[in-house]
Amino acid sequence: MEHRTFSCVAALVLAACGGDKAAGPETGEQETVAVAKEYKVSSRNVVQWKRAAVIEADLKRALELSGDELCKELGDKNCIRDVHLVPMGGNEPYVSGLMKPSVEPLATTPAVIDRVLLSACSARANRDASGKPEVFTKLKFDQPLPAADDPAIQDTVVTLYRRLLARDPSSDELEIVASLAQDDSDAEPLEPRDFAALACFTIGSSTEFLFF
Amino acid sequence: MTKQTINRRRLLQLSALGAAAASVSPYLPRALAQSTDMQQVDPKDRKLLFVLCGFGGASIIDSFMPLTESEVGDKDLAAKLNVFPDAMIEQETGSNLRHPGLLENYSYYVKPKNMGEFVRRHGQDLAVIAHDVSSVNHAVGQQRSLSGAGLDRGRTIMESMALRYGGGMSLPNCNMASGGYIEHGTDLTLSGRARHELITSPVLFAMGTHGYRGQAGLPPGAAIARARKLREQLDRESVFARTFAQSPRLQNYLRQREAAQSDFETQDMIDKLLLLEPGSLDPKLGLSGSELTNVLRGKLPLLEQDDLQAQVGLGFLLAYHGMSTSVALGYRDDATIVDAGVISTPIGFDFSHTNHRMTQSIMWCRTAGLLDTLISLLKEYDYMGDPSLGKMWDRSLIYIATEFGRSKSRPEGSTSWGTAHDLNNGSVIISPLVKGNRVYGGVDPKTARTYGFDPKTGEPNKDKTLFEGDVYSLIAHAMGIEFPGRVDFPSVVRG
Repeated sequence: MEHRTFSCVAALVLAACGGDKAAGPETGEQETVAVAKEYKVSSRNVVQWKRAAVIEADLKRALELSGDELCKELGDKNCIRDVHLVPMGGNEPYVSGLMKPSVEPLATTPAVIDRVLLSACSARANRDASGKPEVFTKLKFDQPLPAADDPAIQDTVVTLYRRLLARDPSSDELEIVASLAQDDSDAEPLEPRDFAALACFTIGSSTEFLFF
Repeated sequence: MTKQTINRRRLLQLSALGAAAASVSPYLPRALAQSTDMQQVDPKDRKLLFVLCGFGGASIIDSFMPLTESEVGDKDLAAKLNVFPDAMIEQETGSNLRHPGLLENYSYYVKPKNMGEFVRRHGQDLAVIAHDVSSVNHAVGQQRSLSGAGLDRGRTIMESMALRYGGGMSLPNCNMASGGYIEHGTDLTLSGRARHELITSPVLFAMGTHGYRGQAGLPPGAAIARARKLREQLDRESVFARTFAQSPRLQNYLRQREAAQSDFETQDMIDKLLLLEPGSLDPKLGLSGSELTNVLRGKLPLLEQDDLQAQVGLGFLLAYHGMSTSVALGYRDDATIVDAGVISTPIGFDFSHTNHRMTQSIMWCRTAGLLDTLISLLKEYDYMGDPSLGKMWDRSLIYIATEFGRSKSRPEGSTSWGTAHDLNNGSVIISPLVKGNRVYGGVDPKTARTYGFDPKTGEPNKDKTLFEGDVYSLIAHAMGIEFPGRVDFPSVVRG
């Protein structure tokens, strides 16, 4: 019994480390953490859906925005509380008579999540680009976007991981998100503001942020 | 390897898990869900179901099965029953359907439009089915009115429609109602996509069908597409995603995300389902609506104030574009207030507790007016805009569902009184697929209670009582939905 408990704890610790390497703090340096390559797959498979109120709270905290700044439809309607509450897992007894929230995400939930995340992340990026940066402090918004391996890019990704997922990215994850800054021959080079918004969106709309 | 045994405690645990799954999770692992996957049906063979959920007890003897004082044949008894003065009952020329005319006084409510025009225009397709129900509890009755009290493996008739016709549709089953009308059926083998998409903001629903269009100040679409691809990589890479890779909830979400991007967005549902006036929107949002947006806004001029008008508009668009095979509409708890005043009672038909006759009159007239608009649209437009597919109405059925009837008595001689819930009632079905312009069953003049009919011949039978399962069977028969135990209604269903 004791042996089994220890194994479970060890597996959890290894899993929490998040990969073969974890990215370092804001310097962008990486420190190697020895963890197993293979991951245990949960046999229970029970994950909870992070619903409207919690997503709103997490985004407000992570992006340092007020609830009304996160996302608006048509310029004046609060996306989370007014327009998309139900696909985001909320209930609304007063107007629609919906006493209980949906048990499962709806078919439109992923599109709504994209919408809210893109809006919130863009709102933060636009504010940082036009004033004193509060979240994207390492990016120079008046200059071209640096290369993917530039410390400013790496630090931005690490910061977003910490703000949104409360952990550091693995080196693979860091590389994936930073690759947004790579030249893409099919598209215009990204502006720093767009990189900031999309890096935030990529991490914030991943399943790790949306389920627990 | 220890021997696996199931003792009584474990058996109880497993039973509890099974019960919990039955009551909570509408999704199952994919393998099981696939056992009842939706059928892909050629558009020419598809059918469309619209359910209008009459919250609170839409009493059939206050609409298409009214009883008059003289029919009771006893003045004293008539004064104690919910019957109408003879002069109040109207019947259009050539119609077999009777309905009450308008009242003299509607208090502070806007005087509704008489149902006569609705009957004149659509009465030939209107069938009235007398039946009882099995519960006078709102939520239970509402759910049973849609599931036939569980007759077909616990599926709602909308879920059965989705299974029968919904393969390949974006949102096969949409539900804009409330209360027990938005409970899923209890068939756990049902594919998740056959279960309804819950819609509570019909005017703005279109916005939620696209991940970014209609939002200003975002990165370019091509860059968003690139970010989405990277997100998919993250969702394969993260410890969380790997650890819970087999989670049905996570798998379903990822499937829905893929569908949302590949289906909703490429179909441009955001423009096709837009109910807002495109000209009133900030051009920066880049929304153009469709040619139908303005048509609907003309026919449903109050849709931004009246949620039911918005539901009718959205329901029509979902069906027209081939996105849904089943759409449920429903009244909300709040009274509807528009510029002209109050046009519906609070808590729908259930305001009959306070003032039965006025509530029933307002709500039935309102229902007829809304359905008049919907049916007119269905008669006017070709399915999916394709003339070769014929008019939408030719493949449509409208079911006015309600959870129960109302009590049949009144304080002696009273013209304004309150009623309770009653098991006895009836339903209305409007469709070219049924033999309309007819009441199936009858009303006992001594009790004001309805009685049933023979499903084969249609002959009224005072000793026959039909229930929710019979209504479910009838609709299933008309819509070509087979299931074990279905009762056929050749007397009502055409062909």
